[in-house]
Amino acid sequence: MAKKNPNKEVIFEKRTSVFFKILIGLLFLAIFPISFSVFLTILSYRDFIFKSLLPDLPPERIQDALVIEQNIEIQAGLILFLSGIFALFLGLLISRHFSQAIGRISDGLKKVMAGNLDVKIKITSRDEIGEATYFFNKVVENLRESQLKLTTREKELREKTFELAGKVKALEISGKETEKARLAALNILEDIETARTELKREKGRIEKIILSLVDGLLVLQDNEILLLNPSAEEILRIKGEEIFGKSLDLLLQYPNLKILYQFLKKNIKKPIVREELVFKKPERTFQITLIPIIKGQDLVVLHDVTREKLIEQMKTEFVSLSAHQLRTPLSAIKWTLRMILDGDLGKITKEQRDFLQKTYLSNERMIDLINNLLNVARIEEGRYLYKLSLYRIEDIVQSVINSYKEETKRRKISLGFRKPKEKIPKLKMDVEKMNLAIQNLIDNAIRYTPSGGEVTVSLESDKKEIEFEVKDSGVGIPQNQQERVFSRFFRGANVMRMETEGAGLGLFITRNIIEAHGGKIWFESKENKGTTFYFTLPLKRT
Amino acid sequence: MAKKILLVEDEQLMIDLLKRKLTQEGYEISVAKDGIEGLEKMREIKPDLILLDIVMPRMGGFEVMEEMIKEEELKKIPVIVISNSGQPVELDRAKQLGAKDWLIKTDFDPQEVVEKVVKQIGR
Repeated sequence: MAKKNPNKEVIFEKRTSVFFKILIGLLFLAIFPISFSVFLTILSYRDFIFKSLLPDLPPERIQDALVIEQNIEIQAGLILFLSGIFALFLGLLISRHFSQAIGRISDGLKKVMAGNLDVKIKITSRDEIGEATYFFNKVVENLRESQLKLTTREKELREKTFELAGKVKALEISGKETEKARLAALNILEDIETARTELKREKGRIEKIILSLVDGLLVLQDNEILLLNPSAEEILRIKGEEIFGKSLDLLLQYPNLKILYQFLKKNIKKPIVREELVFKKPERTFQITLIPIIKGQDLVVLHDVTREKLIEQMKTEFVSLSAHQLRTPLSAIKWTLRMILDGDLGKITKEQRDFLQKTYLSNERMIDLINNLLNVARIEEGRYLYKLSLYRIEDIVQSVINSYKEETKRRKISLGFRKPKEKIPKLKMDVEKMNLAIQNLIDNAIRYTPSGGEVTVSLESDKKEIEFEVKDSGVGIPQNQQERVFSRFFRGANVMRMETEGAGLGLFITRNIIEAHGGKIWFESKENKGTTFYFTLPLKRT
Repeated sequence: MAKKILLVEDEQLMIDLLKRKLTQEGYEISVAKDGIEGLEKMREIKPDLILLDIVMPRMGGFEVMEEMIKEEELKKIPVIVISNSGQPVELDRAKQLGAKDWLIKTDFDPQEVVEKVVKQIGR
């Protein structure tokens, strides 16, 4: 058996066999006592045989033999009895041995059947039963292990299941969230759609606005025309499709647009530029504005100012006419008085002369007033400065001062001029207006300075600007009226008491002139102490 | 021989005053009361100088000068514009049309007119 199975596990180092055990048992049970009794019988009968073989055997001897034979019987019986007990004992021993071993296995099996796998049977013999026990134990152990594995597996499975359940739940939750997200996404999409629609509508609106704009609009991209609204098409008398994507040079083919072309060529890449251009046939004036929108793109706005120009012209004409109407009689009065005063029309008495002199001055004031009103009207027209030319401001100041020499002498006012240390460069200005501004300031200083007072004019310059200053020791401007000094028709309360003459336009006009030249004007004043007016003019105008 | 001045002016008082003043100064004065009359007179008398008003009935001073430019004879006659308004636009236009000098009535007096006349043509 052992050799038939080469894979057989070696369980016991010294293995016994049940067969041999039973054999030995049987030998002890049967063969040995038989042999032993035979041996004893032979031994007992040896004497008897010896005596029977002898011829003269006395009767006592026969008796002896009988006794011996009886002894032998007893001995054999005893031996038999002893052998029986021994055999019984051995049998019991052997059967107990096997029965116990098998019983243990059976008990074990029962327990295993009942589900108890913690069974381990003690191996009491190294025979097949021992092997069986061993295998039993092994099987049980395997069983236990597999059950353990099973349990672990089950546990794992449970855990997995649990986990899975969790996941499923999570999935459910995330499913819900996904749903939510989906809805949100839908909402967003809807919003985007709304926004897009809105944008589209807005775009449409803007397009409509651009299309229906009265002003002509052109969008240029690096010397190419990108966009042209119908107004621009009409104004320029070109069709968009003819020129889209083509160079500005194309404008040259349209004779009327040469001016626009030149303007664009000259001004492109500059910040906002505005210029008036006159297109011919029909003659219309356009204000052209070039506005850089994004890098490389410029917007050109063509605004028809023909009507405005016409109105402007009409206004100028109206002002001119009014001036004519108002000034003609005043001029006539002036000239008449002048000629009478000069004696051109014959001699007059001293009294007549005095009255006429006063009338003449009143008339002069009237003329001044009208001139000032005309200036204000022109300021309001917005085109106040006319013809800028390079001029030396010092010359203007000097000539104004000269013109007041007589008056200051008469009124005993010292009029001084602190000339600049270095020669001030010529400056671009409207000479007539600048003259008026300086005259207004010096005139005010002299007029509101009492006899014996002082008026000092000074002129300074640095690299950036010219500063003009006229300081008087006059009546000053009341503190509470100082902020109104430059407004139209303003006259100081103290000055009104002192002298009724004056329209209150001088400083308004002066400020406008200075500011139109890019300068600033301000003053410092203390009532009854004096006033200093300052203005600055930038040497380089932006 | 006295130098001839043509005064083109519609305001009677101004005419009287200037005529008086300039005659006193020794000039011979002719008068026209509007542009059309002015052109006729200057063709006729060929004055040494024209004192020209701007705003006048029928034909204004600018139109008169525009016409003068067209005629060789008239082109040569110096013109001093006598204007009522001192608007730079007007003064510029007058210069463009060839006016030698200009004066604003309210800013000048007859004596100064005489000075300007003397400056142009002498006594």
